[in-house]
Amino acid sequence: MGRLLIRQAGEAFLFLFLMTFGSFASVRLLPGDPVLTLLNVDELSATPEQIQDVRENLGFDKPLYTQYTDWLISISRLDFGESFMTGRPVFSMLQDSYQATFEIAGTGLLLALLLALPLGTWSAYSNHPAVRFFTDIVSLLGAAVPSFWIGLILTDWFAVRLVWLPVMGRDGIESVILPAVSLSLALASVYIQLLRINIQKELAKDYIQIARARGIAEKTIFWKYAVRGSLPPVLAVFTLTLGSLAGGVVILEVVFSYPGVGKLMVEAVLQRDYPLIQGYILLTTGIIVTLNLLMRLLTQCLRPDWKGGRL
Amino acid sequence: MFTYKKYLRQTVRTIALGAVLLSGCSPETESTESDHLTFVYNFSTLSLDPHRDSSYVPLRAGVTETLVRLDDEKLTVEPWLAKSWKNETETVWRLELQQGITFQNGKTVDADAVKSSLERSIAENMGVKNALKIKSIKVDGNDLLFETNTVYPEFISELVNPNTAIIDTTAKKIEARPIGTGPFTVSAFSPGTKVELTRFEGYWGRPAKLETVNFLFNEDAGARTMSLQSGQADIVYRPEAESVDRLKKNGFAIDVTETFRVHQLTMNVTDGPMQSLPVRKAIDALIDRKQLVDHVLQGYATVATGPFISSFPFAPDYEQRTDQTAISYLKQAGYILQDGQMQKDGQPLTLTLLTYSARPDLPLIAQVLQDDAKKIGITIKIRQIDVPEEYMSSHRDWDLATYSNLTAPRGDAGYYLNATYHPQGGLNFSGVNDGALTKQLDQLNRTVNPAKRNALAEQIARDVDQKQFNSFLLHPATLVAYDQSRVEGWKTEKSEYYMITNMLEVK
Repeated sequence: MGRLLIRQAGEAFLFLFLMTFGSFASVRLLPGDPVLTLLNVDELSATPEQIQDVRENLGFDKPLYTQYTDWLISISRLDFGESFMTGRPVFSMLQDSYQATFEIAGTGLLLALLLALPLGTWSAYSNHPAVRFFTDIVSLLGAAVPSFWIGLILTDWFAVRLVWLPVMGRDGIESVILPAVSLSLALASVYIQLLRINIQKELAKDYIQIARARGIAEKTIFWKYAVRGSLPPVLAVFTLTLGSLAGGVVILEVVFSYPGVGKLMVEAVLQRDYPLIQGYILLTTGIIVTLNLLMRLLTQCLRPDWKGGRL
Repeated sequence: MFTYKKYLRQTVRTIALGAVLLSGCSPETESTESDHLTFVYNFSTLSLDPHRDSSYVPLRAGVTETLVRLDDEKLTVEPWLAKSWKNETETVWRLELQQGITFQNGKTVDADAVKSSLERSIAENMGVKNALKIKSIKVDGNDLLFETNTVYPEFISELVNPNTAIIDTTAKKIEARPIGTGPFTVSAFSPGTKVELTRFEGYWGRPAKLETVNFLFNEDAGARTMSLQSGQADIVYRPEAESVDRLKKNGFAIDVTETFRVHQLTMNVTDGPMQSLPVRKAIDALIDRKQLVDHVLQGYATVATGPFISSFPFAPDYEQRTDQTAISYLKQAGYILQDGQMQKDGQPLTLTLLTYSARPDLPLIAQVLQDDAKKIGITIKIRQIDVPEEYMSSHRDWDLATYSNLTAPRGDAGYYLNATYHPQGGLNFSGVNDGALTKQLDQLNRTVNPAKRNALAEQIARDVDQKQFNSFLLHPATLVAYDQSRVEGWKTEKSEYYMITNMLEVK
C-alpha cells in the first residue's frame, strides 16, 4: 500500500511537471497576442513601437525558458500572478469560479447518481422487458440530447412558460436547479448503462453461483458481492467525470450566465489572459491528478485483488 | 428477496416534494416592481474597475461619467464633467470643470480628484496611456492643464473613452464598487453575472427616475431573448435575430440602430495584383452590398459608402459610383477573359482572401465574394485565420481580408484615418505609404479647429475612396428589444456607451 502510494505520488508529480511546462508552452504558442488585447487596438491607436514597449514591459521578449522559470518561481511561492483582464489575483478569481462550477456540477452529479443508481441497479436486477425498455429510453435520451439543449427546453418550460425558475444568473438555490438538472440527465445516462452491464457481468460469475448454492440470501449476493464487485469500473468513469466537471461545464455556464470556471476560461482564452489560463490548467490538473489518486486508493480498498488496474 | 417498491415509493415522494419546492421558489418577478428595471447585456465583466474594464459596464450602467461625452444626434464631443476647454498652446489644453459635483460617497469632485483619477487610468491601462499622450497634468484652481507629448488635436475626443471615467481613487474595492459621479451607485456586484444598482440621490443632474436597476450579463442570445419573454428582463441588448419577428408579434419593441463599426475589405497594396488601382476598383465594383445587408446581416445593417456613418460631420457625400463594371476595370488593368478565367500575361487572376470567425458575418461575406468573383473568372481562395491583426501585420501572402473595426468611436476621424492609412498606423495592414496622403494626415494631426479638422478629414476620406485602398461594405446595426408596455425613455445610442441613464423609467 505504502509503495503504491509513493509510486502514485511520484507519477502525479511528474505529470504535474509535464503539465505545467506543456500548459506554459502551449499558451504561448497559441495564435493571438495579449499585448494587442491589452492595448485595445480595435478601438485605440497604438504604434508598432508602443506595442513593442508593452511586450518588453511584460517580459514577453525574454526567452521562453526564462519566462517559464520566472513563472515556476512565482508558483512555488503560491503566487499565481494577476489577471491581465481584471488585475485581480488569479488564485482568488479561480477560487470564486470553482465554487460556482461546484454548485452546478456537484448538484448535477448528485442528481445524476440519484437517478442512475436506482435505475441502473433496477434494470440489472430485473429482466423484465418493460424495465429494460424504460431504462434504455432514459439513458438513450440523456446520451443523445446535448445538455445545453435540454437546458434550453427546460428553460422554455420552467422559466418562460411557467415562470417558476429564473432564466439565468446566480441567485440562490433556484438558479442552480435548471443547469444542474440539464447536466444530470446527460450524466445519468452513462451510469445507468455502466451499472447495469457491470452488475450483470458480476452476477454471471462463478463465485456468485457458488454463493447461491451455499444458500446465501439473494439480497446479500446482489448488494454485497455483485454491486460491490461492479464498482471499480464505475468509479473509474466517475473519476473521469469529476475531472471533466472540474474543468467547468462551459456551455451550461454560458447559457445560464453562471460564473463558473468554464465561462471564465472562455473569456480568458479570448482575451489571451496568460496568467489566468496557466493558473487554471495547473489547478485543474492538480485536481484531476488528486482525484485519480484517490480513486485508485478507493478501488484498492474495495477490491484488494485489483492492483492498479491489473487483477 | 428485496423489491423496488420501496424505491418507487421514495421516488414518487421525492418528485412530489420537488414539485412543491419548485412552485414555491418562483423567481423574483422584479420587472413587475415599480421603479425597478432589469437590463440584460451581451458581454460580461469580471471587474467593475472603470479604468480596466473593456466592457465599459460602469459607464454603460450609469455609475461613472467622463469629462466629455459624445452627443448621439450631432455626433460631436460635448461637455459632461468638464464645462469647457480650450487649446492654450499647441500642446497645452485647459479644461474647466463643472462645479458642485460630488462623488457617490459625498466627496467633492475637484481638480485634484480628477487629476488623481486620470493618473490612475493611465497607470492601470496601457491603451489609455497611449491614447491620451499626456506629459503632465497640473491643477489650476477649478481648471486642469494638460500638456501632451506632441501636438494632439484629438486629445479632447479621447476623453470620451469610458476607461477615462472619473472616480474617487481613494475608495476601496474599486473592482467591485467603484465610486463615480453617475446617477446610479453599485449596491452589489457578482462578477460575470450582474451588477445591482441603486439611485444616487445626490446626483448633480436630474436624479434618476428608476430606484433600482439590475444590470445582468449573458453572452447567449437565446437566453437573453427568453429572459425578456419570461418577464425576467425589461430590456435586452442584442436579442436573437431569428426571434425578432416573434418578439414583435408579442408586443415587444425592437430598436435597430446603426453603429460606428464598419465591415470592410482590406486590400494588400504592397504585393500582388491588388497593387493595381483598376484591380482594386474591379473588386470594389464586384461587391453587391445590398445583397450582403439583406442576406448575410438579415437586413440589420446599412450599406457603407465609406468608413464613417453618414451622420458624422466629416463623412463625405460620395459621388455616385460609375456604372463601370468589374470586367471593364479588369480590362483596363490588362486582364482578358480566357477559358473562363481572367488572365494577364498568361497568369490567371487568383486572389487569397483572409477571414476569421470571431465575427461570424465575415466568413459568410467572404463566401459571397468568392462566388461573385467566380462568375467573372476570378479565383478567390479563402484562408481562415485566428487573429487578423497579428496575421496581417506579420504576413504579406494575402491579397484581401475581411475585417471589421470601429471607425470613430470617440467622435473624431483622426483615430481611424491615422491607424489605417498612416505608414506608422497600428492598423495599416494594407501597407499604405502614399506621400500625399501622409502629408494630409500629418496636417490633420496639427489641425485643432474642429471645423477645419472635419473638412480635412472629409477630404482625406474622399481621397482614400478614390485610391481604393479598402472597400467598405456595411455598417452592422445594434438590435435592442424591450417591453414597451413598461419601459419609457430608452434610447439605443450609436456609440453604445450610454445605456442606463437618469431618463429611463418604468410605467
